[in-house]
This record gives sequence, C-alpha cells and structure tokens, in this order.
Amino acid sequence: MSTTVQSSVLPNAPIELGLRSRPRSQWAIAWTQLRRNRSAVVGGTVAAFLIVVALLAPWITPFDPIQTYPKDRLISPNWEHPMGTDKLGRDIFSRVIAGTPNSLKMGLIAIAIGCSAGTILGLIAGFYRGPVSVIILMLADAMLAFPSILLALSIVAALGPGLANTMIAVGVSYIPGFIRVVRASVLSAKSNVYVDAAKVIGAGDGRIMLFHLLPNVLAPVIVLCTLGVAGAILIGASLSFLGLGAQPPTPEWGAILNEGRSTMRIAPWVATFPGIAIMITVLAMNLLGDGLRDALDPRMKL
Amino acid sequence: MESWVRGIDRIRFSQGNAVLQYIQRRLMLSVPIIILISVVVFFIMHVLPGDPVRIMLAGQPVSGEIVEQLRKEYGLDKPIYVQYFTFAGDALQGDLGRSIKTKRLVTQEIFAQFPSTLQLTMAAMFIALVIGVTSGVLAAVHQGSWIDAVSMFFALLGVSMPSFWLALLLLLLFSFNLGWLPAVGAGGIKHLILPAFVLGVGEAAIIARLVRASMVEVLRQEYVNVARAKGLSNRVVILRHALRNALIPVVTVLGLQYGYLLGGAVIVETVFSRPGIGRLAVDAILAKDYPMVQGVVLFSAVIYVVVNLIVDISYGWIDPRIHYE
Repeated sequence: MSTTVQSSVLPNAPIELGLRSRPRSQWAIAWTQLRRNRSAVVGGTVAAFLIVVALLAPWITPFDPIQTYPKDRLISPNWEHPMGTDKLGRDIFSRVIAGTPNSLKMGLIAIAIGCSAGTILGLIAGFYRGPVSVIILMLADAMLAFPSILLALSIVAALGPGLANTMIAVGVSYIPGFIRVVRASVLSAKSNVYVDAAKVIGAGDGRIMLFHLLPNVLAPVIVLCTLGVAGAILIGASLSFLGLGAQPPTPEWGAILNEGRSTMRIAPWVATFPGIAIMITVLAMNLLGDGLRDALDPRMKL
Repeated sequence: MESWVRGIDRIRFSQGNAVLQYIQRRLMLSVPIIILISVVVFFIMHVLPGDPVRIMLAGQPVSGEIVEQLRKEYGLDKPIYVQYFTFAGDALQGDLGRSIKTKRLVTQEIFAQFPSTLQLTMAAMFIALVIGVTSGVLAAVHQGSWIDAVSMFFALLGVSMPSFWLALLLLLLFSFNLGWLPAVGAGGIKHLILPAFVLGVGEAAIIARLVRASMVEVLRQEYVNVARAKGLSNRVVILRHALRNALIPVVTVLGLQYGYLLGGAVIVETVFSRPGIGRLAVDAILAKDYPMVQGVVLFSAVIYVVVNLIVDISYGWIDPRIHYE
C-alpha cells in the first residue's frame, strides 16, 4: 500500500526515489497533508493547549476549586471571577481549569482501554479463522446492538458510580467498534505478499500480527482513537451530568454542569461555561480526527 | 460504523414469496443476536466485579445473614450458568423480574414508559431528517460556497455539543425567559418540541454530513447530466433525480442511528423530567434497582435490533434495484 501511495502523490516519483536513500514514508506524507489542513491544525493546536492546561491545572487556578466561600455565592461573571461563582461560592473559572485533567483523562483513558483491547481482539479475529474469531465477532456484534451510552450506563450500574468506573465503562463500550475496524483492515492486509513472505521465513503468528499486520492497520486505528476521544469525553461528561461519573466535589465538566442545573434560572453561568469547555474540546478532537482521516486515507469509512 | 445489520446480501427477486423467505431468514439471524445480547446484559450485571446484592445495599450496614438471605431470594447463590438460564427462560416468557424499588413488574414499568420514549425518538428523527436533509442538500448543491462551509460547520458543532448543555440553554431561553414552552414533564406537542429538538440536533448533524457526501457523489452521475441536458429545471433535477438516489445510504443508517436516539433519550428525558425508559434506567441505576436496569437495557437493545430488522426489510421497497432472493 505504501509504495503505490508514494508514487501517486509524488509527481516525479522515480527520480525522487532514485535520489533519496530512503523514500518518504506514508506517515511523512500524511504529516505534510495534515499540516496543510487548516481546520485540523486549529483542532490540533486547541487540543495541545488543553493538554498544557490540564498538566498545569493545579498551579494555575486563581482560586481553590474545592474550598467553598459561602459569602461569595452566585456572583455573576466579573473581573475577579471571569466565569462567576456557584451556589457554594466556588470560582467557576478555577473549577473549569481544575476539571480539565479529569475530563481529558476521561476521554484518553477510556479510549486507551477500548483501543488496546479492541485492537488485540480485532487482530485475533482477523488473523485466525475458527471458533475463537466467531465468538469475538458475535460478542462484538451483540455489544454494538446496545446504544453506547446505555452500555456504558449499565457497566457503571454494575461497577458503581465514580470517575474511574466511568472511564472503564466508556472504554469497554468502545471495544466492539475497534474490533470491527481492526478486523476489517486485517482481513485486507492479510492477503499481502509480505505476510506470506514473513510466514515463509518462519515468523510466528504473534510476530506477524505485531510487526507485519499491526503497522498496516494503524491508520484507521489512529483516526478512530482521535474521533473516539471526542465521543468518549462527551459520553463521560454525560454520565457525570447524570450523577454517575465524577462525584462532588471533584471538578469535572459534566459534574459542574450538573451542579449548575438547580441554579440555571438565577445563575446560568454556572452551567454555561463548563458546557462551552466540553464543546470546544470535542470540536477540536473532531476537527483533528477528520483531518487525520483525510490525510491518512480519504476513502476510509469511519 | 459497520455493524451486523449491514450484512444484507444483495439479493435477487425471483418469486412472490421471496420477500417472505427473506424476512424469515432475517428473523432467524436476529435470534442469535438477541441471545447474545441477553448474555452480555447478564454478564455485565452478574460477572463484573460488583456484587448485585452489595450494590443494592449500597453501604448499608447489614449482617452477613441478610446478605445471604437476599442472595437466596434473587437466586444469586446458584451457579452462574443456572442463573443465566433462569433469567433467559423467564425473559422469554416476558418476565424480567420485579423492581426492587417499586416492587412492580419490570415489564409493566417498561411498557408504561416506552410510548413516551417512542414518541420522543420519532419526533427527534423527524426533526433530524428535516434539518439534516435540507442542510445536506444545500451544502452539496452549493459545494465549496459559504453555504457549504456554514452548514458543515454547524454539522460539526452539532456532533460536538453536549445535548444536556443545549437542553439547559434552550430551557433558559424558551421556558424561563420567554415563557413560550413548558420546562418539564410530558403532555401535548408543546412538551415535545424542546426535548425532540435537543435529541434531534446531534442526529441532524450526522445526517447532514451523510446527505452532503452522498449528494455530491450523485450529482456527478450521468443521469443527472442527462436530466439537465433534457432541459429540466434545477429544482426538478435536484429533488427528483438526485435527492431520491442520494437518500438511499441515509435510509440504511437510519436504523443504526435509532440506537443513538435511544441512548440520547436517557439524557434528554432526565433533563426535561420526561417519563420514558431512559429516565427509568437512570433512576434505576441511582436507586441500585438492578433487575430494572437489566430489564431496560435488554429491552432497548432488542428494540434496536427490531428497528434495524424493519429498516433492512423495507430497504428493498425504498430501493427497487435491490431484490430479495
């Protein structure tokens, strides 16, 4: 796959290839394309900024995000409290900043779980034929028959509410999607000559899957991960909003929004700003994910 | 995302009863899926770390004796496979157990609440189709123009916006400030507008992107050129020749998207305090009412399978080029 992509992308490929000791990889080409995509660059920049905020969060909140100041309650946005305060007098701006690592972790850890389990199972289901693959696929299908939020909801119900359990629940609900995508890519990659070649020189199944098939299914996995982080942040925030994720007083965007519900009529800012934070984050990840898909393989159906 | 429901074979029409045979086969294919769904639901509730009895008691200080007694009462002392077959056998007979909280039959509660969810999801689907198809067609017809850019930006915003946030903002505007629409509860059409809109917006965004992609493809086809060459008006070409063909892939995903709406109903029903199975599920989880959670989740998944079955079957009617064999 990589060689054909190169020759069609580089107009004078033969000469280029002749001059270079090592041809540009598929990844280098994708990187160039990604950088040219303006909305992807915006998405990526915002995502990077949010990660920096998340890392610095403990040091950059102007007020203590958890300590309550009853006499400062429900102050509308002003210079001192740019996003106002909630009914316990906590500064919303500080809580939104302090919530950044929790909300981002929700997306990243959930997708780490979904991606690693789903990719391994997808590799197995695509590589082997037989009862194991059939069982994996049927389970994936059965799990896909649940609306993902309901699946996550029932797992939280079983594990009990909490931030960590929500991450696990959302992660598990993403496994079947990864299984499907990885398996489909493995099925097409498996027929390549290099797989036969690896077999002929005596490579074991594990080696073939890890070193020959995995690199070739990486592109859709990366795209699915990026778009998945967006979705997982949204589902995680939804669960927190329902009171099943982060528990008070932990700052998490969905949870802050939920706390602002009761004062929506008199102090709409409490619920408004965390919502904007969620939207900006999810939008950035979606822009980046769309850009990655276009850069890696525009025909990808994700 | 590809799913088992997409496994529709391209089929050829031969005899009158071919459609019936196809329906029969699709029904048969649904059986293993439904069995597996019940396994997954059961597994989540019983095998995951997290003892149902402990969850039910939720930290209440009780003696080990009472725990054992409860365990016996719910059959949790038996081997896991026996428990599954009891559960599946009962479920097949329409018995999903009793709610721990209200002591009413789970099925009774579900059937009492489902019409409200059905109404909400159907209204949301309608809104999503109207907004999604309109903006998708406009974007495709004016490909590359500002109309395209604006509608695709809103589509992206639609999928990135937390529905509960949108719900709160709309409540603030239309119920609290303007006083046009009721904030909570269910009843007439006025109660339906906001929840259905909130639920439909995310869906509209997905449909808009899909319609645009499909329409752009169709507009390049020969038959569109032919229609134009015949001197038909732009309107006729787009609505009668292009749109009808562009909608086929949209119909295929409608079934899949119904699951999205069912999931979204969980949040929308909670925010608007509307009755429905989504809110039933959330209340049940918060009350540690695990037979109810199990029942609602199983029911929703089966509804999803049934909806997809209906979409698959009606597919041939929508696209006459597809035949049943």
